[in-house]
Amino acid sequence: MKFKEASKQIAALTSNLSMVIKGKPDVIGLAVTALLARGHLLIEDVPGVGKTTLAHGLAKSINCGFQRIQFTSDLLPSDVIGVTVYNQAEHSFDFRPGPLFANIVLADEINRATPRTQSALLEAMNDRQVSVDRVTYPLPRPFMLLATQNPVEYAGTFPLPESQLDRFTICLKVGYPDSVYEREIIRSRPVDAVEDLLPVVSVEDVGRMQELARTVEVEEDLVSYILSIAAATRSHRGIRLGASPRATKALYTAAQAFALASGRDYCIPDDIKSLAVPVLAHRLIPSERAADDGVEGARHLMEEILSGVNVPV
Amino acid sequence: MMYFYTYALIVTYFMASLGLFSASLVETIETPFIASVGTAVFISLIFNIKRKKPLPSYLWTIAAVVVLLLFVLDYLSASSSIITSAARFLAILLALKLFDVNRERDYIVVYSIVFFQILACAASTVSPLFFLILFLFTAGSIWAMIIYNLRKDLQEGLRVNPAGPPVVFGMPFFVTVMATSAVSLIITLMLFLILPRTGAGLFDFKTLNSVKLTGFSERVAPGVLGPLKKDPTVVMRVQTKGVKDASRLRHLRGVSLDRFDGAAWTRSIKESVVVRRGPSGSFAVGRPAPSMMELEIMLEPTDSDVIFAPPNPVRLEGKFSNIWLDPSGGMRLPAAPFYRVDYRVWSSASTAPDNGRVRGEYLDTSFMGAGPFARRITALLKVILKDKETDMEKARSIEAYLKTRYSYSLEPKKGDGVNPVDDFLFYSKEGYCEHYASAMAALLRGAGIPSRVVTGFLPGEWNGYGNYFIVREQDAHSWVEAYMKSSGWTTFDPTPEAGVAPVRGTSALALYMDFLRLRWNRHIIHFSLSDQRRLAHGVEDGSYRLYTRLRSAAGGGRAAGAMALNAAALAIAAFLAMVLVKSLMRGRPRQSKTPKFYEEMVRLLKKKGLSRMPGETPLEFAMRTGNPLVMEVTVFFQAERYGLRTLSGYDLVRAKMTVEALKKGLSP
Repeated sequence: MKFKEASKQIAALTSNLSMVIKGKPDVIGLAVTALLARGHLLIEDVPGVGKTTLAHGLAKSINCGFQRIQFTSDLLPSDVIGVTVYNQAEHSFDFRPGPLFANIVLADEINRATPRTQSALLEAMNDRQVSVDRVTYPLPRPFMLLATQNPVEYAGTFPLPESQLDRFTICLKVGYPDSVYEREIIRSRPVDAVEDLLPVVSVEDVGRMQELARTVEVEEDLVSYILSIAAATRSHRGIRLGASPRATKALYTAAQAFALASGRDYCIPDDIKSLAVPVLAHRLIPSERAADDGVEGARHLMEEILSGVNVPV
Repeated sequence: MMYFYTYALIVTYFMASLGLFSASLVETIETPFIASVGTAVFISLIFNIKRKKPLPSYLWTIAAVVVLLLFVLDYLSASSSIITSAARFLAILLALKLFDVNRERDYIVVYSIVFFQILACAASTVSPLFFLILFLFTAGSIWAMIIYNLRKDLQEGLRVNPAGPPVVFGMPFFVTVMATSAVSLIITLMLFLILPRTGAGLFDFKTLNSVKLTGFSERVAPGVLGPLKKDPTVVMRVQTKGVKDASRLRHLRGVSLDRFDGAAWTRSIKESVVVRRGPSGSFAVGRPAPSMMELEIMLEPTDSDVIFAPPNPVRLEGKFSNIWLDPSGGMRLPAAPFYRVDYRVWSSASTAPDNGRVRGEYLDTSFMGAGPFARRITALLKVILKDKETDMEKARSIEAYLKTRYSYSLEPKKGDGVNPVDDFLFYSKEGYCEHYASAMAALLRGAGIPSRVVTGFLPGEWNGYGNYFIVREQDAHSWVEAYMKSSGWTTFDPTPEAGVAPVRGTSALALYMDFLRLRWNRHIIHFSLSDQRRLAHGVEDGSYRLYTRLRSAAGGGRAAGAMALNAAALAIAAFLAMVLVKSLMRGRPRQSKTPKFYEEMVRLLKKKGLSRMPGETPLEFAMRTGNPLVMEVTVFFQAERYGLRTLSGYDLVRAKMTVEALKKGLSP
């Protein structure tokens, strides 16, 4: 697949999504970036801003399998990944795949599930496979997990462990729309809008675009820039735990994907700088004082760090 | 869109045509040869334009070796002139090489061949066109060099598509070319003026064709100058000190002849003395006189060894070892010159009495015999010399009689006289200078006045552009010298005005070209060691004057002056060292990966107080400036800096032009 063709498809995808997520090109861009980077997306925001719509819209635009799992405190791992049942007719155990077996899985309110269920996603997210009763089942490709969580309601939630947060390539905030767009949202029929979306990209094309994203040029100095940012997070006083190598790798691939989504076949410092917050912030563990502000505090720290790291020119 | 290849091709063919042109100036090279080589060059041009698959380069090597062998054969057998053979060899080599221009090296080979062709041309031509070729070659090489370097820079330094930018030839480029040309010209001039020039050059061959000069041998029959009177070949150029001297110059004297045997004039007085160079570096050939006329004469190579000068020469200065001087004042070189002879002569404006020692040969009238010819002469003299007392009166009346009673004709009718003089005086009554001069000399001798016939030149055509006379074959003349008891040997010219009026009608352009040619010869080809010495003396004198002035200005005597000079010298040395170090520093390869146009933009913005913060990306910075031009440049910059893109020439030029526009926009 050529860059030109990819750009065309990405543009189609973006415009398709903008029909349901109005006035949020950044959010759409990040979602597409996560898709192209073979990453997973954590959408963190108050209810009703379109988190689910985004996930649903993305799935509809790609013409692929879509599953939605509503996470609750009593959700069990087997409810997510599937279960082995005895087949009486054939006298054997059959694996009944869970809702995870889809191209795009929306894990709604992921922090409501118990850590036990949350960890069941670990293998799926990292290795794109699940193991049940010593049998490993590959997940369909592409596989992308979109999770949402509500940062306001903490009652009865289990905050995601660091290991799992680290597996989300991008964590984004949707935010309230502008009044202009909000007016438009009110006027439209949101449910129908998502249902009416037509697929614009095939699953195969997504796979090809993901391959293409890996070939995007990242100049040596830009790799140094990524490393400098990571080093700064590790040595920053307000941060207890800095960016992991997995985080820097994620930033690298996300920057490639973002460049591709922006119609370039090479990265520029802006790709890295603008992705540093959505890619890194949620993985950082701020020290006591900043921790009070949660992820929001980490975002501020990240921005502070970025303004201090020299951009290679 | 023009490509570098096209530029290179244009320059290469420009140079090739210069090479061919200079080859055509080599006189011994025939036009058909040049035409056939030119055709080959033309075919190679078509070949190069079509850009067919390049021929394997070993073909060229083989061809070059074959041509080299042919060159050796040609030199040994046919032409026997190294210049001619070399010029032919180079021309063929050039045409062959043009079929094999693929790498940079090949272009340089072509230019080198052209250079050698011009060198060969330099050794064998005196055409002023050579100067033009040299100039064009210099300019062409500078262009070629710049294009070559530009291509290299763009390919390596900026990683630019070799297809090349369409409009690099902007103002800065033009200024650079001009500056480079000027600097190289100045350096060349300095080398030319400073490098010692001794003797003949390496390529100083005998290539000028000698001018055939009849009428200046031991024996001159009346009538030999006739055919000459229609020949416009330039014999010499005579530069006078001023227009006043020019109006005084009437004759350029060659040889005098004393004996007429009825058919031809000969020189019976054979003895002559060798005049050697005097202590002042000049040859003393006469007695110094108070009023002297100075001439500089550039004598073309002739088959005669005669040196021409106005009557009564006093001093001679020139590059010859010695001079043969005969008693009648005729001057000869030891041998006929192969080259243009350039000499200065000072001659007295007035004649001086010769102490009355006149040799009998000048009174010899044996040619008249005792026949009717002698009787007719006597009768005629009776008519002319009636009531004339002094020699001078007699001579003047004979001169006037011939001038008025005889008609000037270049093709006189044949009479029934016993000899040409008899014919002229009594039968045809028409003739030209030789007849007049012979007749007058005969009449003078008949009247008992010592006389001789002189051959030489009239001043010829005046060239106002360079204040000199162009003397041609057609200006050959003969007149009479008679010995006056009062004033010694005096010049008489019985030829009527029709025969001595200078031929005019040369176009102004031709005169100007001749002037340029003279300048070229005088100041370039014959720029000599003595000229350099003169120049050095001038510089020395000037600097000495400056030094004394400085010393007196310092006032504090010698020590203070010396100190001031030392300080000045030290300051100059320090400045030069600084410049050198600076240029060396700049010469180091750039470590930065940032393209120059972006750096320049950053500099420009910094001047305006806008600079990028360390954590700011170029794009953010561009947005902050709010300038769309900065944005445009930044996009180009990103593509090249981060995209490792070989920015297309077009984009590069656009980026540079945007920076230029920005410069203009930002300046108040």
